Amino acid sequence: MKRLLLFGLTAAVVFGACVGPSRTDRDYRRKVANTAEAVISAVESARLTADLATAGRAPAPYVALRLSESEESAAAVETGFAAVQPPNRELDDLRTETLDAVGAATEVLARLRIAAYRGELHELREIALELEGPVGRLRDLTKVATS
Amino acid sequence: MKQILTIALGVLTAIGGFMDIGDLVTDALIGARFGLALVWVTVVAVIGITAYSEMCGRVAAVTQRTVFDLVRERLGPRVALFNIVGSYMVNALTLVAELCGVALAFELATNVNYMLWVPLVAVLAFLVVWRMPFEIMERLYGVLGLALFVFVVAVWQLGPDWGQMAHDVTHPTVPPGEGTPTYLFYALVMLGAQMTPYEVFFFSSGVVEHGWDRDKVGQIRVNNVLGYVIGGVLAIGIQATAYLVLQPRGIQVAHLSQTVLPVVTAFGQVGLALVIVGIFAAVFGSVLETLLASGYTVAHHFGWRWGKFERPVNAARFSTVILVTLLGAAGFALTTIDPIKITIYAVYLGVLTLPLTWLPILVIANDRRYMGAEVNGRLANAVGVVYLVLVTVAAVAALPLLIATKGGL
Repeated sequence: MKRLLLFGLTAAVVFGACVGPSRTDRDYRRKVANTAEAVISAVESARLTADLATAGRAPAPYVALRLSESEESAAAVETGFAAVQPPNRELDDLRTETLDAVGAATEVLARLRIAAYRGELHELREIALELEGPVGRLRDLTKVATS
Repeated sequence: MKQILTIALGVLTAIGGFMDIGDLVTDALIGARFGLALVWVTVVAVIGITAYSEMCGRVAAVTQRTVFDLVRERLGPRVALFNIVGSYMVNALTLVAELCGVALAFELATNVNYMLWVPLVAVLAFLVVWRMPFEIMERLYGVLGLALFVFVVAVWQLGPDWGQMAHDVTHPTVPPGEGTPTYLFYALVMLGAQMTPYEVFFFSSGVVEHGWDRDKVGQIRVNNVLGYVIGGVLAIGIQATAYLVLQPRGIQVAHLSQTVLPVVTAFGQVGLALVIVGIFAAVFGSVLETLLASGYTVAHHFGWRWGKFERPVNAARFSTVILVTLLGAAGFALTTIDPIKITIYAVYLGVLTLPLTWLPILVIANDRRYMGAEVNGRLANAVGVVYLVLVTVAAVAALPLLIATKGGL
């Protein structure tokens, strides 16, 4: 009995932390909103870093690290979301829309990272302006969970 | 004058003991996600760790014996063994997080991957534990750790709306989009980060090793109260900077580099340099404390010869435990496990083990056979019992909350 209880607890802890497939429309929309919020976090973090770097308030190694991490975070979220299948055909468009917005943001984050590693810190703010479009689309997507 | 200097250095050590990678990460993470809605947990934790540490220090000073030695004698070897296994495991996991924390501080300064720094940090910890005198070791990281107060100064520099901040602190609410279970999960994370038992094991062992007796009980109290209260102010400063800079932008903290972003915003490159020095000092100090505390817990339980003042050859088993723990922790840190996640889980598991050490200390501090006239007074007992209930409820709720929130998602 004790062993069974221990096994149950261990299984609950291990599997409780896993991301499962979406079984309902609501679940999937919640995942879309969470994905958008996570990518917005990475993007905003990168925008703030780019501003500080262009103003000469952050050193190159820190800027390069910060922008790499932002890109990695967004890419990891993108991969995680792409692996989840929508529960019905009606949500296929939402999936495409989400992946497009996340992909566009990740692409700009990659350009920011490349510029930082090349030491072109003065150009970062200008490149970061291109994040406006993807961020707007991502903000709209954060509302799909409640729509 | 000498007395004041001694107290000041003791306070610095206590501040250094309070602030570690768990605190740095959770304060920023929680400030960015919940604003100032969990500041009350810091207040609760500071009172708790001060009371706990005062009891442990007083017990050690009066009896000249260490916590786990007394626990084994008073509660029997079985209960004590259960106790040290839990404490050692949490200690070792915390050590992994601290090693990664120092490596991440190097990464912040150099942009060289933290994994490459982990072995170097382990070697450095080995050399300091074996070669550097105890007092220099404690005070060096205590003084350098003061650089972290750049977080507190940054709050002023960022020009906050003080009225709004005061309102948010005194009227805590669960932010929109967050569930109550998640809020409670992070309340426990914060409690675990700020009430870390290893600080107390380290501190009470230091009392015995320094040969402090009952005449020093007053100084122990002053060190604890001032050190932890100032440490608490620092923790709230980190939460406040995250609340001011990260939360309005929707930035969620997943990297140490994001924790320092508000300081860079406030003070630019100078701020970053100061904060890196502070993180290195505070977290490296915690590496040494967790490492020594791992050896202390095991050696005290089994009655082995122990101590930082002992030559390794004279305390071979104690030294072996430390070395094996260090190698194991460094090896685990190199498995590419996410250092921020391991930090969160380490502090969370700390919550589970809090009652294991709280109860025995409360029992011993009330036993006149050990404590004589220095037995707990009414205030110490009232605080002790309230916190025993609190940490027990927290430990019972920890696992269900972990599962219900999928680890705080």
